[in-house]
Amino acid sequence: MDLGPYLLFASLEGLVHAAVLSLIALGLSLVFGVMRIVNVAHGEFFMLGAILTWWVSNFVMGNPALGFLLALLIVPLVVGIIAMFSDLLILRHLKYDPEVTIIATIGILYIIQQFALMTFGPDARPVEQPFNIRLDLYWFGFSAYKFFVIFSAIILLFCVWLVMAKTKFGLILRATQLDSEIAQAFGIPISTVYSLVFGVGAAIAAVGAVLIVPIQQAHYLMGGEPLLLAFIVVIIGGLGSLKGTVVAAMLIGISDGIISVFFSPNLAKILATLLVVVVLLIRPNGLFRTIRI
Amino acid sequence: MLIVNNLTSYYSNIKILKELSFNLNQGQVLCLLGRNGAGKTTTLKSIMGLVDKTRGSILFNNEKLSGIPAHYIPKKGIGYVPQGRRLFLELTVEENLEIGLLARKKGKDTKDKVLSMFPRLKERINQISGTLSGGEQQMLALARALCIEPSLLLLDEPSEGLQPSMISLIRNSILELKKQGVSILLVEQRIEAILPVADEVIIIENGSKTFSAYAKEFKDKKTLQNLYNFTGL
Repeated sequence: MDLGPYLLFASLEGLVHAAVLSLIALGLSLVFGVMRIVNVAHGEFFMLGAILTWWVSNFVMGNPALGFLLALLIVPLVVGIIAMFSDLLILRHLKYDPEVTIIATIGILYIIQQFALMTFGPDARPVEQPFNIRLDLYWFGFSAYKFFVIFSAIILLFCVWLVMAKTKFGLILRATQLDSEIAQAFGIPISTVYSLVFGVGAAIAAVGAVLIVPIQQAHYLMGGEPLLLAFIVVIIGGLGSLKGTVVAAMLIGISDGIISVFFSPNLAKILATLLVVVVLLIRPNGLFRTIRI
Repeated sequence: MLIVNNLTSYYSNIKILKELSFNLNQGQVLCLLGRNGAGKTTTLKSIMGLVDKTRGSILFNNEKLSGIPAHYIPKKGIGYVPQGRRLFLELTVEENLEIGLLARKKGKDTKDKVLSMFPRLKERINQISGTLSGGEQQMLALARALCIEPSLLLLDEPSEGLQPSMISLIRNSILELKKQGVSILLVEQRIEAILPVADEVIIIENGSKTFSAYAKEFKDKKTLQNLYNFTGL
């Protein structure tokens, strides 16, 4: 294969990861933006989404597309509800103190991870792709499912943008994000908003998990790397900025794909982390975040 | 309609208000006057339920406000114009008003009524509120609070940092609202800003009431001298 097609192949692979990464980072960014807390357990909600998908797809016999569709419907819902409960039972009682919350979410991280280890086991388990079609791209074949992943992520990102920009619920979220005290003084029940946002943030990550599992396999330790990359993405894009998150996810995801294919995956992570340092030095609020007084 | 009785408020165990008591009747303008840090803003925040720890009681239309969650308080018909305006600066004028309307599920009629009071906001309805001038921002903060059709309005230093023409515009709005029967609790630092509108003045120092006077006593030189002395002007 020539360099051109090879580069295209690497970019497409990168785009698939960028799509899923932007969903995970979006959840993290939403939670930080509105609640001002860093959710270290975010990657575990992603992992939970993956192993639940495995369960659902094994539970449903017959056509793998059926199990996949069912997973796409119920897994984000279940993960979202679990996240809401962890907010209700733990975070709310800590009054969202930034430092204490970090420790608490580390605790949630281990609880979910060990729960997964005890029930799901230490093995990586594959989930069958809902449809197995290869598209012939002249130089190489590429799985149609991967295009579906990219397409689904775009749809979901668009929906999130639509909700944030055009609905009353979105307006309430933005107002809470900008000034939670004044939001309260205008009748917004911010603790309910916080629980919902924590649930929705985890559910968006779970959608990413449902989409990626047929490509990547489910494993109880799979939440660590996406969490690191999601942090990198939201730092570069600017916490709480939807546009910045998507652009940074594309940047990190695609360059990760290209560097991984041409050099090594480790080099890709090293460069991404280096980029964070540079961004923090020259634009500490992220590339797309205007400084607010 | 508003009865504050022995209100004591704390910020992380530091006593800010010490057994403050006052009444506000319907359609009256009560002014809290005092220096920086005297506890004026804390009084308003306590009424809005935004102070974690309070003692004493706050009654509004014979309903207890102390102890209920903060987001229920505006639904009772209390509008709040906080110090420094505290607009949602990245939202448009219209979105800021929308937040006010949502509090008591008010609709287009309320919005039109409020906008007719402030035609300048109507012209800038789609502008990001952070790009408005100081006076326009203060108008918007007031308009946002009026979107809940309040029977009680809490105003925290509405004249702060405004040019004289804006101050008189805000003052006229206060008089207009008073005529409509809205009760107003007004916090100010400068005595000139309140004398034309106030029915009663309370001086707060170190979280307690040290002096109070009714409007008819303002003409009395000694009372006036007392007021000036307490505010240090």
